[in-house]
Amino acid sequence: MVGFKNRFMLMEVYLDPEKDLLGEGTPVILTKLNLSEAIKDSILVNFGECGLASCLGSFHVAYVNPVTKLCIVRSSRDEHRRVWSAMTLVRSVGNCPVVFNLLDISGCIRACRDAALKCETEKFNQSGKGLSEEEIREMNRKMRTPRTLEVWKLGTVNYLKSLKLQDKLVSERKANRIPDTLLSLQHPPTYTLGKRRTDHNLLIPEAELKSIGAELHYTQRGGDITFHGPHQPILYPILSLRSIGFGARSYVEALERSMIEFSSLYGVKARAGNKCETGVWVGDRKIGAIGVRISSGITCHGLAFNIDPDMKYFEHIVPCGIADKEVTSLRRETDAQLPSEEVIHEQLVTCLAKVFSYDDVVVKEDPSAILNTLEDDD
Amino acid sequence: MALRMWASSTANALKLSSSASKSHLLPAFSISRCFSSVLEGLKYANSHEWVKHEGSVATIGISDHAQDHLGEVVFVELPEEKSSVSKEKNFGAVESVKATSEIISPISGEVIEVNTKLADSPGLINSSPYEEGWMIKVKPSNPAELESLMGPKEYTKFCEEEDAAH
Repeated sequence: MVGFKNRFMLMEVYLDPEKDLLGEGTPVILTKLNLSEAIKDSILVNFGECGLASCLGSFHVAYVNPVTKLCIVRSSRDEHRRVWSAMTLVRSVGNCPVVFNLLDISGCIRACRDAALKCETEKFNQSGKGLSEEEIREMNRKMRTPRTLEVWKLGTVNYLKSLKLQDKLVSERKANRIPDTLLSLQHPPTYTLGKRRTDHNLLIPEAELKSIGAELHYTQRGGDITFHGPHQPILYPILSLRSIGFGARSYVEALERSMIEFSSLYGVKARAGNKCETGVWVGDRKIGAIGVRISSGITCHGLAFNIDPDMKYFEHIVPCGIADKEVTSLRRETDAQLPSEEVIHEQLVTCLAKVFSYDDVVVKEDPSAILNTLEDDD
Repeated sequence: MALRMWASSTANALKLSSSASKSHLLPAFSISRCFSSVLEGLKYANSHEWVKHEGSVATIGISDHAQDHLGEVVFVELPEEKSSVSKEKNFGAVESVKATSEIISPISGEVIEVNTKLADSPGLINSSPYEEGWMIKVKPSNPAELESLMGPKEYTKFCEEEDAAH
């Protein structure tokens, strides 16, 4: 997927440039946080708020090794020169004077990682001194293998079928037989309820649902009642929270950020919900919904984003149990020409992969490969 | 590390609630996770539940670290009295920020009491995860299972490693 073009810069940080110690008595410990603060400050000082704002979305410190003082910084291709010059102008991290030196720049993290490994092994060979157990463990933990997200594009899938599929994938993920997986799909008109079974928020009798061409399903996910239908892309990430280092709250916040990032592609300024109003809003209107279930640390269900669904269906519910707020769609919020649904789905997936910092995205386009296996299990 | 253990025991000694003890005593350079309290005298599971064993009754709840990572709890689903729970199997669920998370039982046994206050005030889990936010009381069927759980020091280290790994 090359929707977002990035540059990965491998930098070496010289602390107190007179000395160059390896692992011993360093004046400041480099962390992702203090490095990214120092670089962002430098961008702000040298390029102003406008410069900072344009770099911020894609800027990310991907790797920091406090022992060898190497770090890998990601930036979008368009902004990387700005970030690069700002890094060169960084004078201090914390209270310690520093100098940044660029060692390598490449378009994919793999090449950058290889260069980093090479540089670090050389450093260790040169220094010839032993590192403590602690430092070695720290290094091994950081030189992790790239994280891959497997994406299945499933088209329109019946809701019950998708539930069965998710159950199956959750047990596969728990047993580590599959990597982190993402289902990208849509549903035929369907109303769904969460674990709290708030069916008082369904405003028409269940019997009438068939006449409007919709189904109703009860689920174990969090959240209130919602509607799914054509022209509303849905993403169900089946991820191991432990392997991505998130708790429930930070996971949901990352899902919100994915949708906010996606909206910004069309110039729509979306925001995360206030307390108790989880989801993605444009002003007072809800454009993206979230409902998640976490079972043995594996996520299922996920998010739904309104591109251009039939809004009349929302009139039959109190969406997400929030009575006085409207529901909106991308179609309503922007006059921009919308590309094909396929492109839109891909963009949404790319935004999610970016927010969750996946190094690799592998797209599987043959839905029958997993959908058909469901028949066998029945 | 020493600072955290000191803060933890001070918080316990003064019986401060967990939200108060999450004060910003962090040293300037440390990785900035808000410090969660870990109580002495309890055993912990690696799925972040705690067990308080008093005689023939074991009380179970979720730790401060867990409630912090969950966010504000809006709904709790608990088993019924007289039902049984098994070690490492889920016995209920907690809903927060539109996410339902399962709660795993650290030990096996029979449920003798359920905290009914949580139905009306699920937020007790956030404000008082070790006291008012207890979930179920169980008669352990196999007290030896408690030995395999972590003590407070091990659990604190476990949480730190989990948080620092990313």
